[in-house]
Amino acid sequence: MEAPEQHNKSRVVKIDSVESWDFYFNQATNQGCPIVVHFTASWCIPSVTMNPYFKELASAFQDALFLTVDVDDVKEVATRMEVKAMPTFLLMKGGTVVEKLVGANPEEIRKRIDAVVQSNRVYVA
Amino acid sequence: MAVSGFEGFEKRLELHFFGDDNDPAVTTMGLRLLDFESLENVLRVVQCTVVSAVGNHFFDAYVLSESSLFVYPTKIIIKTCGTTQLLKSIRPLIHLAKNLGLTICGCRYTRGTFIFPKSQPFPHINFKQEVIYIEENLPNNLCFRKASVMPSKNPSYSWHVFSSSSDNGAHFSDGEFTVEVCMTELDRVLARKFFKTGGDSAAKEMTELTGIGNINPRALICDFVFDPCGYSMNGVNGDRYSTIHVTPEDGFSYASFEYVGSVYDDQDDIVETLKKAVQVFKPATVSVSTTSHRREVWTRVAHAMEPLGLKCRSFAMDEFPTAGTVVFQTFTAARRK
Repeated sequence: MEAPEQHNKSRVVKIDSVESWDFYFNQATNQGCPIVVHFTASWCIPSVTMNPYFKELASAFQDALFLTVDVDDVKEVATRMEVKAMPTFLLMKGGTVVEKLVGANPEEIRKRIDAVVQSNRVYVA
Repeated sequence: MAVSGFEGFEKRLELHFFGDDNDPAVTTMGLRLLDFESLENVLRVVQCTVVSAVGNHFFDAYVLSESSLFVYPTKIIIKTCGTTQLLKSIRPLIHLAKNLGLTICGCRYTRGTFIFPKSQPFPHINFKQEVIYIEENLPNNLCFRKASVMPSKNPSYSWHVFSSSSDNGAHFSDGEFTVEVCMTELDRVLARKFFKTGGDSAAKEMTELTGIGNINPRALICDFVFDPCGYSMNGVNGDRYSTIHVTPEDGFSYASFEYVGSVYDDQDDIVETLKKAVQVFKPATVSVSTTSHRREVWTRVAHAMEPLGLKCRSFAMDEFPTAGTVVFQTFTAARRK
């Protein structure tokens, strides 16, 4: 039986450095695991309001890796991925970006994640 | 024209604030410090909600159930359609700003002519009521005030403007201008593209298929598709926004395009932007209102419309406190009268 705390534990991994980013990116890619990234800024209300929902999505889609990147903390990654506005969501599979969503549209994000995860399952099978 | 239907014509409110210029919080964030709940509370009073949002280093852009909201450090712009009570946001916004140490120094309200004016609630029954309501809710320091109805040859197409400021002539960005385009009687085939067809990524596909994504390729687009039809988008490009809202139903079809530009941009860019936007809809009637301190802007408008077969039917010009010169032009297809 799972301890109650497990349910509240966030599956979202906070990336705090370029090294951390490279590590998780490579690991997930090697494992054939889709990655969902939320680029956020602590001062940007549209992205901050998406944090709780992102945690929910992480719980709902256990087959994908969920990362959150603060564009001020890890500027290099934000620049590398050409993030110009927040929130920006990147869906990655097999080492490449398959979808880039700009803006906080909960329903649309969920649909896109679902599509990527589903297609991944079919491929693996 | 249908007897009743959704009102596409928007009401637009722009509020300017000032605070302590030496306070970095004010200059960098200002109104952007307002928490989401506070914004939602104001929008509830107006009777709309946020459906999508995005922000960059300069401002936050929200797509609403009934149009858009832009929050800059010292400026807020709300544009709402349907039967929203937009002016009811003035008092709570002034109050929220005051809590952040910001004082209102300018207010501008504009709108076209409603297709279904009788469906509008208080205080939007008529322009006179709107002006009285605004004045009742503005503090006395906004002492320069002007209200005007700018006509066209068609009584169904007038442009209503109310502008007030605390300092006549100050607080404007040299070279910057705003263009508000209102289009009616959209081409039926093109309007059909704004009906939801089901499937995923409806908004992104609609943006691409209709050509909206091509109007300003440099802008980041935050889009939204409504059920069963209707479309909204906010474009974000540096510190400038653009916004499009579409009511595609036959009988009361409407589309609006608004954007901010600068006279220091390539002059051909202004023409091309307008042309591309209007071509998405191929409307029978277009009204364009430009707000600027320079004349180059409104001369470009006719240059954009003529190649599309749209002839200028009316021209009206007026000066307003702080806003500068507002020029209102209407165009209809050349074969018409």
